[in-house]
Amino acid sequence: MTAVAVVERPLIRAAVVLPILFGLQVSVAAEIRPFGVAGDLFLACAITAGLLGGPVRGARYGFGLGLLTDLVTRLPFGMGALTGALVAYFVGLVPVGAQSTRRAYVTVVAVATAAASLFASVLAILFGRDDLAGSGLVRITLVMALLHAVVALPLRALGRFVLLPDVIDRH
Amino acid sequence: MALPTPGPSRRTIIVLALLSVTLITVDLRGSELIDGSRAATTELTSPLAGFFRFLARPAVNAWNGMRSYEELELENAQLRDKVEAQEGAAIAAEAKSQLYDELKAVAGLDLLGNYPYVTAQVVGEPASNLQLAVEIDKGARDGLAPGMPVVTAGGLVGRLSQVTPTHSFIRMLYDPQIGVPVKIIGTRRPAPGATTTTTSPPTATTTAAPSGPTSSTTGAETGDPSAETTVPATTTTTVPPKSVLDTGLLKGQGYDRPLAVDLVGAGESVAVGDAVTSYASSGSLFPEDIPIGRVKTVRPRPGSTYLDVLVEPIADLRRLSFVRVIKYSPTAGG
Repeated sequence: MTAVAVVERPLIRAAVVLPILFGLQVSVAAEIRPFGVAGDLFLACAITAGLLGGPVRGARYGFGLGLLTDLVTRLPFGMGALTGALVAYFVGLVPVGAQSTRRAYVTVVAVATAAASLFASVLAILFGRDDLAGSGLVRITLVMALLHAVVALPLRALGRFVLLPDVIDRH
Repeated sequence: MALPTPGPSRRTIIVLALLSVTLITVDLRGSELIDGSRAATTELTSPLAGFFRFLARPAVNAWNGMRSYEELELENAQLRDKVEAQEGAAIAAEAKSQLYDELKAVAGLDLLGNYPYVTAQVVGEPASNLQLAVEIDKGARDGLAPGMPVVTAGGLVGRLSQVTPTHSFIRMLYDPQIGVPVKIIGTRRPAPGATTTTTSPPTATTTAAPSGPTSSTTGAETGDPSAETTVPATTTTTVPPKSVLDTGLLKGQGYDRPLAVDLVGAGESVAVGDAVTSYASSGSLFPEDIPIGRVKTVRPRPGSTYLDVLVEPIADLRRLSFVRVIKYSPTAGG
């Protein structure tokens, strides 16, 4: 396999990016907590995958990223995967992507983050873990949306690198 | 721009959603495969996580410094006051050794005297906002096992929920899934509305000299009643004896919320400020007398014979750096 062939494969590029993403999540996103709230880079990346790759590709990437979240957290296993897959799928249906204006893109990321945060809480309640859902939900949702809006554009650039050339045939 | 084809698109998300729900169900029922995968992931990723935390440490420290400098300064001042107050109380208590021993037991100063323990460092904040478990850098290779109690110098913070060879996870006291048998220690008072026919309970008395220059020479001490004496203006403090008012089950209510104690009878004279410690009842995972906190609020529960008791933990559960894992086994007793 030539170097060019390797670089052209999105999954291999994702495998290169994932350890860095994981490192940033545990060292920066989990430690620097405005108002006590941590950003979730895996969720933000799932949303990015949906926006750049479309619903199907987004759902697959979202599911994978969610599974990784499930492996490193102690929440019910599969909750992150379900949240990631669904949020990436639905943002994939929104006509905003690599070519959209920055404002539209950032807004969609923020709204999708808020929806995902609320959805995760509903999931927790549905699966009998209502103890996870009630504590500071509004604060968590708002601050997470803001944090993800801040990192939305750098992640879009990263998403372009990972998903290219799949980004081109998004819709 | 063509719309996405509905068929394969919907099929994909339905399959992924069903797969996720299956995984959640399997995990909630308990799966060694999932637990093993998580433990293996923790082992594999901990060097990478440690490396990134090392790289990010200056930025994180700068952030923490910016965010909480004033708060820490205020907290320092409050802690200094508390330490001074405790030192003063200890000196006063020395006058009566029996009382001192009792206070010491209540305060849990001999907390770790009888059990071996392992000191561990909290390696990072939970990676998710919904996660209530905290990771430490010691595991089975250090002799740790699930269920062992975890304390700080202040008191109980939780117990180990999962142990990998090199890391462990603490189920914190604020996790609603934890239950700690506790006893409430305070002064027995007549219950509100109750009629008392007995005399007041025996009390212990300690005498403390006031601050400032005073003479401690008295005629009684020198044996000379005519000696010139300056009688100090003494302050007499009556300390009623403390006793176990009731036992109950302490449960968390989520991050940043006070702890609740269930099963405390409405007839008990529990009051704000009463001490709460662990209670080694049958089947309890915790040794006796680990300090937990003080009663914050007490309210009668409407339509029930129990009280609603909320407890403020002594240990700062939100800001942990080093913890001690007590190697306690309920069956072996230590």
